[in-house]
Amino acid sequence: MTAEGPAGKMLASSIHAGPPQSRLQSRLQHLSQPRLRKVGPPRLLGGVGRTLAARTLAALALAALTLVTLTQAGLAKAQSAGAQSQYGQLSLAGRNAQSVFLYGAEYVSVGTLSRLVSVSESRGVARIDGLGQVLLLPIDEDQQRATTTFNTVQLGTLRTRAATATRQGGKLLVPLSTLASGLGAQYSPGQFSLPRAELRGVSSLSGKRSDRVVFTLSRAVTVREELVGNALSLTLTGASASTRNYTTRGAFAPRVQVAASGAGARISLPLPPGSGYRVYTVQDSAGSRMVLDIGPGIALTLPAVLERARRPLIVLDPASVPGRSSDVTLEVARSAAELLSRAGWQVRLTRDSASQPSTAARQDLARQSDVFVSLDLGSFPGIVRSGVTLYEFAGQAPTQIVNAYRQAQAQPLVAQVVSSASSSRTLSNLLRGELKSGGLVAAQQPQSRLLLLGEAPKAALLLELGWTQSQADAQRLSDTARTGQMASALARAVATYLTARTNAGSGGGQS
Amino acid sequence: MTGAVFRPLFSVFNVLALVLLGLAALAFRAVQQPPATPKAPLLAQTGQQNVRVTLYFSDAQVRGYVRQTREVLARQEGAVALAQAALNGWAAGPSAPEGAAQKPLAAVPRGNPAPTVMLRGEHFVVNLPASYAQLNYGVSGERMLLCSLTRTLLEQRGKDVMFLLAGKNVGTLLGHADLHAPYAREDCSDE
Repeated sequence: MTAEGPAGKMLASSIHAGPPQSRLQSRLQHLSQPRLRKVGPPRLLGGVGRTLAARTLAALALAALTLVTLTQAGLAKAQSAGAQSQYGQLSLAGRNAQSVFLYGAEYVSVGTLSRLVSVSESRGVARIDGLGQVLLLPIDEDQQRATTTFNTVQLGTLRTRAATATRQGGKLLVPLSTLASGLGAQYSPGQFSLPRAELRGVSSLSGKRSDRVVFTLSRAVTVREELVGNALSLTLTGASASTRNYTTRGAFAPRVQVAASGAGARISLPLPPGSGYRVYTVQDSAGSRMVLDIGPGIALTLPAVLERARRPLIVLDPASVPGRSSDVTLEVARSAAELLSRAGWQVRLTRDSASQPSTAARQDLARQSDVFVSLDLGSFPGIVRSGVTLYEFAGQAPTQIVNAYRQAQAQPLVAQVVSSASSSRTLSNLLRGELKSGGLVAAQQPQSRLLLLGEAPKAALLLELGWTQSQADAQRLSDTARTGQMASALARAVATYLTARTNAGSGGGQS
Repeated sequence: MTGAVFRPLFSVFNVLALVLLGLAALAFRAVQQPPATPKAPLLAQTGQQNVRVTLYFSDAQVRGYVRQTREVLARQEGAVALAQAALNGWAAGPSAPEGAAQKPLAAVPRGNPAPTVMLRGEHFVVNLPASYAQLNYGVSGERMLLCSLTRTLLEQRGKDVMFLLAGKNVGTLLGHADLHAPYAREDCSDE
């Protein structure tokens, strides 16, 4: 008896009767293996040929069966995935967007959320920043598990088990139910809305070393802090509030003023000397609260740029003009620096009478300055010109980073790093006014491609005191009373400019 | 005793040998003589030609430009020779226009050498003489020097002008102007 007959019968019966596939496969594998059998007298060609044919058939049958099994499994998986993922329409804070339903849970892509919150991803965790809250959602690559409460998520100060972020087609998806819990939003399938932000109440608690003021809100909002001098201002972005003053029993925050503004509710209170403050938000089922702790028990922490803004640097750059009996640019710069230093401002000169700095050293000081003023004398062969001229830098700064900051003036603290292009014109106008009050009319001239003025990130001017070939200018510049007048005008203009900048809220100030 | 055999003195062989000896002597003499000194060729004036160029100078206040068109001598043909001829004319200074109330001003005092110019595609490279760094101009004067040069060169062709000082890249010429990047037309617009 050969293997051909039973093998063929077994294959046929297995297909029709449907025995377990594992048993069938093992049987076929068994048949496809070479084996030694003694079956009667040797029949050389006929027996060998039939054995080979039977084994080949068995191998082919095994391959076909495997293929069918794999195909069926793939189709089943695809059908299952198709059934558990479908797109839907979502009203997201008043705007239509597309959502994805995964195993019944509604998700939204990061790109769709970009106008509401900012989402970043780091080490397998999605971080959602917005409305004064920070949500941390682990990214679970298993979609089905992500929709359950298997994962633990961090919603502000609350750690809980909820649906978490996952991926589909490489895109990061965020569950709307968890997002709503974290942001204090209202959610039902297809509908995600933010309640109207409203300041509902103010309460306080006094302490020995600090006071606490709690602002109860209908939902979380973004809080912007601003400390100008000792005036602390908090803006609850987009929140409505009625304008009124609150009196507390605390010693460190006795009065809190709340005012409605276009940007939101604005809270103002003075920061007592030697005191610090901290602001944080708490989100729970009852709503959102913003907590302000203030008092000497809390260290005052300020961004490094604000620390520097409290002591701005004024750089005066007197040019060296050879061939003159007196160094008039240095005299005026020294007089102005003395006046400013006496008033408490921090002033540096790029040179003294003995040294001649390199251009690189002057550039370095220009880059550090809050106000940079070059003092120079004009000269040109055969010229007929006299008088004082104020040059401002025009055009794009040579450094790309300065240009980029000038484009982003609205961002917090950017004004502390780079001033807007109009700051030089403001300083120039102030200086012209001061010179005019001393009887000296100065011309204004914007000019591109100026090396040092282009390097200065904030207000910068070149003050041309006069022309070397002009008799009138030579007479004026040899008069110490007139040069002293120019130095006073320069000092007053710089001090007025920096003080006005501080009062305007950009954070600078006299220490 | 055997009698002497006389052979003819002027046999064919002897005559030929004598002629060959004479030719060899002449050849030896010729090669021993020093080569003749070549004469220097006469200077060719044919490459020089007058070309019409537009030059820029300063007004009396160093605020605006004064444009002058005149003929200058170009030593060769081509864009570089034309640009160099324009710079030579620029360094020589403006011509005094008849009836003008104020004469245009040269950007460099008379006697200063003209800068040299190279052209790379659409970009001029101007090498300023080292003496220009001693001019002690103010901010307006430095800008006028650089911009009158730029406008003169870009009048005919080119996109921008890069300035070198004595063959080297420098950050500034007289302490005011930024020379890190080339000067284009828009850097030298009228005030």
